Amino acid sequence: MNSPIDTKKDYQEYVDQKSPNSPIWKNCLNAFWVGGLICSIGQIIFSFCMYRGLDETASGTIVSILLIALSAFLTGLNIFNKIGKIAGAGSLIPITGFANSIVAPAMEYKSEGYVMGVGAKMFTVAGPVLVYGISTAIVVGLVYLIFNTQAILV
Amino acid sequence: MQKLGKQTIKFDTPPTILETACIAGPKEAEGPLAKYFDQCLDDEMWGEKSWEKAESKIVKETVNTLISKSGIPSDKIEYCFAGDLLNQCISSSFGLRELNVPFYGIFGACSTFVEGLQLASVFVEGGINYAICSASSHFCSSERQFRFPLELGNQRPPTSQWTVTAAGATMLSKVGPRSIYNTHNYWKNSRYGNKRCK
Amino acid sequence: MEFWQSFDWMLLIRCFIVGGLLCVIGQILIDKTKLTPARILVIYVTLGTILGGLGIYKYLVDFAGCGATVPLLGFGNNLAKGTIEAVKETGILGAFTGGLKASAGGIAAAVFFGYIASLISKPKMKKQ
Repeated sequence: MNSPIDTKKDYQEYVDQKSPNSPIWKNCLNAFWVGGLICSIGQIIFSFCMYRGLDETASGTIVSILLIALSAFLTGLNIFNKIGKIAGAGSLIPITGFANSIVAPAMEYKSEGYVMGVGAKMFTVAGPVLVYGISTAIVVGLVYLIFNTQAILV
Repeated sequence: MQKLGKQTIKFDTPPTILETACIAGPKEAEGPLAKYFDQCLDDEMWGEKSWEKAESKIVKETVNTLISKSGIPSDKIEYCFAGDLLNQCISSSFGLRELNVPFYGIFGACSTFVEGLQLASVFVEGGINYAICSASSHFCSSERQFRFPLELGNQRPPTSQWTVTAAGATMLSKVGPRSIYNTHNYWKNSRYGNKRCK
Repeated sequence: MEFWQSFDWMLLIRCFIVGGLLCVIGQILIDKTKLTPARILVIYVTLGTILGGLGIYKYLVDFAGCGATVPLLGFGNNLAKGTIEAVKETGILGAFTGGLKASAGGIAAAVFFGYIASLISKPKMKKQ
């Protein structure tokens, strides 16, 4: 009779052997073209804004806002989660994934009320992104203040 | 009642399963057990305003179906053991609020139903005539509580778990017409076949 | 339209490829590791902020345009860029105000559209 640890390990190996694997090549291909497509749409909007005379910062902000609005619209129509099922990281990594992670809890927690549901729980998925992004940015700012880090790669 | 070893109890008067009832959601209705369910739903909301209210309604209707199938008047039913996955077992406790049967809320996750059967059996052994055991779960309400909002575009791996949307209930009794070993035959020859869905 | 004649098609192709590759890396993380989507987003944002702070990320932005700014690495880069510009102008106060100022549009849009969507739509059951 095997000791319990051996049996547990054997069982885990058996489970891993029998579990169907994610079709990683298909997933990567779908992630590639969906992600590329979303970035290309952003690029077209960006170039159009620059063509119209706006500066880089404003164009970048407009690209973000329009892609976020598109993602919120698709999430509201129950289409985005079907795209996400196929594209995986292709819709998660661009800013559309961030927008979806704010809109989806907002819709879901409506049944708990507008203040305590939508208002309080809107950031259950996207909260960490904001916390770590902003904190890291502050650290970057403070480090820049002390050493001029922009001059590291000349 | 005898205790055998550390974990087993042997009953002197084994309990009988008098009747069962089950209501299941649309995805479960596509499975091979569909013809055994008393009712299959068209959608997970069942006309309610939230997933949790829908789950309460499923529990309530399942227990009501069980009581009417068994023919035992509800004031003769002595205890009800019910549980589900949500915080404070809210679906069972709110769904069975109007049942007027002394209520034990239990939590055992996937083992809730068997836990209910075991606890009710010990009560039946102790002299109780009729006890109900019920367990339920709902995909949408447990996704909301334990996992991700429904609209989130995340990719589920092929081995990810899927919570069932259904409730099941049984009536345990001391005074059943058949002993526990005939219960299988009772289900197969059930007179309620024509009420099953599609 | 004159816009399409002056359009940089090579930039679009580079943008498509770089954006796609960044997503493929994320996909490999999803499939091969046990990281949840939230953790992967946190890794991307933090990495983007650090690379932006070190001045490395702007080379990728010059090469691929929106292929580098649309993914969440670009969001982090935007935070870092805004912070550093604010630090140049107002010193230590800028470290705190700059990041949010730069990404204000995106965050405000997400919150607002999320609220609107919650008013209008209801979540539907997932189909496997």
